[in-house]
Amino acid sequence: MTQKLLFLFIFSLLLGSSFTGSAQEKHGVKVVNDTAVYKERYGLRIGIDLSRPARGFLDKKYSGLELGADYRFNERFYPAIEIGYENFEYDENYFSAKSQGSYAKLGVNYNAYKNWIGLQNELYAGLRYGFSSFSEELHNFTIYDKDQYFPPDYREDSQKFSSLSGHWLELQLGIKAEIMHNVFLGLHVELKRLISSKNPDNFESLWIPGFNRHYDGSEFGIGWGYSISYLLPIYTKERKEVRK
Amino acid sequence: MKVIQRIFCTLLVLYALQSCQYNDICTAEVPTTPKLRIEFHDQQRPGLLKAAESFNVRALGDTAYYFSAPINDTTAAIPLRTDKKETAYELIFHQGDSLETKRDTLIFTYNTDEIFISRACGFKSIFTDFDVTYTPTSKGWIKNIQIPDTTKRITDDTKAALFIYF
Repeated sequence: MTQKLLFLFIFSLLLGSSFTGSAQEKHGVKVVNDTAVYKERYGLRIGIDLSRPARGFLDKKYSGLELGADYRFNERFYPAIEIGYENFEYDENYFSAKSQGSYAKLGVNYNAYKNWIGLQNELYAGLRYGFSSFSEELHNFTIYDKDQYFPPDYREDSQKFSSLSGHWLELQLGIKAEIMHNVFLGLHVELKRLISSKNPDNFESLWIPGFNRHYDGSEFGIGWGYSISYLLPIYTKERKEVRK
Repeated sequence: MKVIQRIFCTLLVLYALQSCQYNDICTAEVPTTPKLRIEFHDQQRPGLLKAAESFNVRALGDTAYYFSAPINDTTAAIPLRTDKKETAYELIFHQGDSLETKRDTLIFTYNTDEIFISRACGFKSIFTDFDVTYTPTSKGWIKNIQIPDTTKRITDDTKAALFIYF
């Protein structure tokens, strides 16, 4: 399922002429006296993650949505925010449960890519502080017994654990490519580290919205996203480059 | 272009790593639902352990014996039912050997507590208010029984929760 999405993204990247640089004309670059002048657009970019609705469509056990926004502060830095909600049913070996809640991530992206004049793509590294407020519900479980002498003890016992929370730090590495005027496609991966989490009584925070699966004995987590966003230009800044 | 290719490769690797999962298996060392550990003592000299020869157990109403072959040991661990508040066992002495087979019935009563272990293991039961009911018969071999733990709790099966004197 996720292979399809990745392939689709690579394909759309190849379609976009931005990386080949032949879009110079359509991005309004003026060449005057050996100096190329381009008005870089600065503004607020608003986007939506496509991987989550796609996963929700393909995976009956999952539903989720993430919206993101970033703002170009200067040439390299883009403060960013993401908010979302996730709802996940998980079936483990000896129990079934559900986790649902919302999350928010605040941070800043650093664009490491030196664009050719006329382009506004990004190859960025970002830092985020993420937090989630969620609840878990245990549906059923089977008592673990090494012995098989007696039949398995299966309990259908719905237990709700609310007011759970999780806080983490996240590193993002990603690409944003302008495929049409002011429209960007983005792909990124996330490396997360849980700082603190409020665990329920006699259970565990096993799946935290925004953080994903919380494994036994590890505070690290990973994730990824595939997004489409639109830039609302607010002002422009001139960028000059002298042609040699 | 080289930089982009390098970054893209890193992204692909990180994406591939996502499918790796920690080995979430409930390993044998993790304490789970404890069994009832029995220690056999000599009735004449109560401090001394005595091996119960050709010992086996069978849950009342069950046709299968717990041990596939009778054991000769000073200790035995048998499971308790977690779905009920009692387990009734028939304890057999000298099963299938040259001496006369003797049987005793013990009824164990308790309460259970369900405790979460981990994602891989799920939940275990521990036993509280543990008690035994025993009616001596002429066909029996057990002379006396004792619960050594005054808290009447069974949380693990490394130490004995029941002493049987014969």
